[in-house]
Amino acid sequence: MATRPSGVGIGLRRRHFDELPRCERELDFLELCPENFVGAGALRGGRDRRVLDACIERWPILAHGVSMSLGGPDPLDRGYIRALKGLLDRLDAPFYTDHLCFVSVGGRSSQDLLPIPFCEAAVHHCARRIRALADQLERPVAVENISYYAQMPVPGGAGMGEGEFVRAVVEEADCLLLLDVNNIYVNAVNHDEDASESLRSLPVERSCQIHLAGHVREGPRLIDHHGAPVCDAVWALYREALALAGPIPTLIEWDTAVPALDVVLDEADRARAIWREVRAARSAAAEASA
Amino acid sequence: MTAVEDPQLANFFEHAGAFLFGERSVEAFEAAVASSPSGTDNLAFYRELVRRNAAKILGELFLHLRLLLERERPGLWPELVEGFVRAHPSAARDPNWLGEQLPAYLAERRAELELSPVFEEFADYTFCRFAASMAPEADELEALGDRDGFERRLFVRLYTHPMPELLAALRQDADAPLPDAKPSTTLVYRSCAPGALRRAAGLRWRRPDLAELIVLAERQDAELPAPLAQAAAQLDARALRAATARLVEAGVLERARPV
Repeated sequence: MATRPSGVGIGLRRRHFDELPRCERELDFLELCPENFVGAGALRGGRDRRVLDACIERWPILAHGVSMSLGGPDPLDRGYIRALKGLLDRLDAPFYTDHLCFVSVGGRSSQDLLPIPFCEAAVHHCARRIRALADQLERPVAVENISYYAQMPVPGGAGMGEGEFVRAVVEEADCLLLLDVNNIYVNAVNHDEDASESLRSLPVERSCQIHLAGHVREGPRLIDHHGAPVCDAVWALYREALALAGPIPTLIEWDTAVPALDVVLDEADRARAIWREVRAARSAAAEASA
Repeated sequence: MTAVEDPQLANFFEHAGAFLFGERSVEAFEAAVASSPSGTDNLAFYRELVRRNAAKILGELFLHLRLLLERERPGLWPELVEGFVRAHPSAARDPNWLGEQLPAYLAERRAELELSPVFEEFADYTFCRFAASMAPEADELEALGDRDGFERRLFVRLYTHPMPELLAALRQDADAPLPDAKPSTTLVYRSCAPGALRRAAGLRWRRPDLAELIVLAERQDAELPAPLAQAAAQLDARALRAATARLVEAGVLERARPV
């Protein structure tokens, strides 16, 4: 029986390896990047493994990948997926998450999360690969809505909006959604859209988890760099997302210039307060209507 | 099953790769596929992001090498990064593995750039430490065919300059001078000794003596070079057992090989 996390978690990052296993503050779950723990067909060892084993004893742990290139042209890497499944089994992870994007082309990794053309052909392509991945991992897959700084050219010219595209992929693949609220906000600002409308255009009802993070302004655009506190506008959008999706597990992502553990946990506390408020309000509403 | 079935989408990826990795202009990419609804400038930003990613990854993994090169050969590091990424495209999932071939690349360009071998050796030492820290545990290494983990957990290197001392000096003082040449065989490894991970994530180095080198060559099933083979013939079994015990105590080897 897989362990279903609840509440608010943080990412498992090297900066916190010494103190995290001894942490006494409230923390509901962790999320790791499997690429940091699986390599060359085997689980990595050493200090990383010791810390992972210590954390598995204390918290549910989810896995969030960055390299599957679900929308990409290169074949899915069966060897890596086998090793990944070993890690997920070890974590007893209820689902696996990665991004609705492409990363590699022709065997070359961009080390970035690149948007796929928002078109019908890409919907079928992504859905086929997501289904294949879920079969091989023997568990549900959730895809994250990414931040994008430009829409890719659409071959043939018949494109669709981001929300319509994500919904079409998720429905055709019959998979879950990892709802990244900061990405919705960043995209809305960069593409001059309304963030609430963008949120509602996504298949929120299929969300299994939420991500929150910080961004930075660079020239004409916001960059989703995961290196700052969550801004007020994203907190407000988070409240809206929770009201729509229900109180699903929420993660604070901090990957650039990672600060002291207490700073990240302060952000988690703020998220948890909102999470509990929304959960209480939904319970009260349900009781009133019963 | 997962190949791109739609020819127009396949065409998109073919041209996207050339654009993202700097081989084709954004204008050529749009001409071959279609215009981006977000405009050419925003689309072009993706190539800048891909370039930045490589520079950031290599600059952080090889931090002291970068600082050393910036000091000794101002302006060379960015050029090296750009050339390296073009010459050694990587499919690595863990970004740090992008740097695996940097020592070889520096060696290839040593003569042309009139570089000291210190730089390629320092890149190698840095990468060996990273790889050793990540190597699987002994049981998994055994399943992969080598419980000792040669070239995964344990690296045997002949350096012309003292690499461990150079790293220690640069950590203390970024202006520390380059060391004089002093060739030595150096073991770079993650210790298997109990409790070793508590200090420096278990990362260690050691200069093995002759008997230890012979033991390691036998463990690796490597043929001994002629001078070593001659020396080995003069060492008795007791000397080799003692060398094995020293390597186990230092955490280079997990245990003596069962007879």
